[in-house]
Amino acid sequence: VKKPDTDLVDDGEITAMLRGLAGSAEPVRRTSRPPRSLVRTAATFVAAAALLLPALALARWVADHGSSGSAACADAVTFDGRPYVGHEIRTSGDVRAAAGVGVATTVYCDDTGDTPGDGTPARPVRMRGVQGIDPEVALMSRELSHVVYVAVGRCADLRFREELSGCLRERLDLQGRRYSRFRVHEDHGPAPEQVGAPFLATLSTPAVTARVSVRKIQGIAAVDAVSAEADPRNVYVVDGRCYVGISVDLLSCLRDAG
Amino acid sequence: VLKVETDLHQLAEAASRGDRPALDDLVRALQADVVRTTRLIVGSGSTVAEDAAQDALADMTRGIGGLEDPHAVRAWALRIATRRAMKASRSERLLRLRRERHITIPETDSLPSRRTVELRSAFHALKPRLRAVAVLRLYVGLSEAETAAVLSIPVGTVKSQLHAARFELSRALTDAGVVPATQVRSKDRGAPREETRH
Repeated sequence: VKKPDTDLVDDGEITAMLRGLAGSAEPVRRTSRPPRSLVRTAATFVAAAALLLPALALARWVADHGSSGSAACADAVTFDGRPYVGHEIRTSGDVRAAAGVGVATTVYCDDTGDTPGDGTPARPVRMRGVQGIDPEVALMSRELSHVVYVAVGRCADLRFREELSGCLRERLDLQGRRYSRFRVHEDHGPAPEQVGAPFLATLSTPAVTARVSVRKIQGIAAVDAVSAEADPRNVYVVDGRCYVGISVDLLSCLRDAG
Repeated sequence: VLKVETDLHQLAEAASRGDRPALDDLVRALQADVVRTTRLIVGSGSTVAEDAAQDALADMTRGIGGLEDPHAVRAWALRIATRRAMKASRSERLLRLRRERHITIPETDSLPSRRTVELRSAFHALKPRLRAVAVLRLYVGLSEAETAAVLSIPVGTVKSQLHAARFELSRALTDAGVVPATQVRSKDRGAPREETRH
């Protein structure tokens, strides 16, 4: 067999070919749609609709908030009636899988955006708990050891991975509402201004349950968020309020929400 | 170039300390390299490639806190893009075999020649690692040492893999019966390029 001459293709030609294929600097956006099959059956089967509501809510959440579009869609599951979104946690060494908890369902995900009904169908995934964390807060799958599935609305500001574990494990209960902790970092401006008298809430971590003093934040209703009296930068946000992406400021979101 | 590099490292420093506007600017500055590198390694026109590009950008925003050397932020971003692309290439191959999930990426060539079409096809058939070396060296413009650092392989391996990529591309063009560009150039420099052997 005669060997081809590698001079037949020079580097300049390969470079030119690659430039022709490179395309735009933006990833091509893909769309997510709620499952058509659900739309067809929802009118008939109320019970089935009740089961599928979390998937629909999750699809909507992904459409509203998922900066990574269908990547988030592909990482979304529902478990025990609650929607979860997957986050990679390679550097969070203290987030470890626990025993199996049951089967979750991935969310139908339309990857093509042009041919209805040919997206990735929902499928069952066996899930495990996370050591020290309530399964209502976070899960891991048996398939992906580097992904933790976090209940929608919990610990959304995951850019600072070192905070993930603490955030997932910490809960604040105040007048029947449950709050998750967010940190307003020094680089993002002054600490939230506190107003009004302090009131007591219950703070729960794996190590301790304690009564702590929290205060209302200027311009934000206490039913949406409060901050710790001892450290105003520790803001506790009520579950489901204000998913915070990389370019959205938490306090602005909370003020808009009010 | 020096100013751009300086800006990048300053942005990276601020972003790794938690400065959100700096992180946004940093991602914007590196987005073109990350998206195009990922797309070219996985395969232009594949939805898997676009997903991988988005994942790579998300990895950057999530992982900026772990950036150790702000001066090497571009290499760090390309490493993330390459890693995502290599991982995605496996699933992309399966989808390609099923001829599914393809989308149109606007091309700069309005009407590519047959030789270019064959070259693209041959490039797409290369192993992902060979594509990664070729993209980083010949498209992104990294040196051999920089390419080796991004891929965590020895410089000698970069050289041998680039040679292997050229070899495979040449063989594919020969098998396809496309007239070598060198022969065309030496035969008739002024005339329009012929595409096939007759």
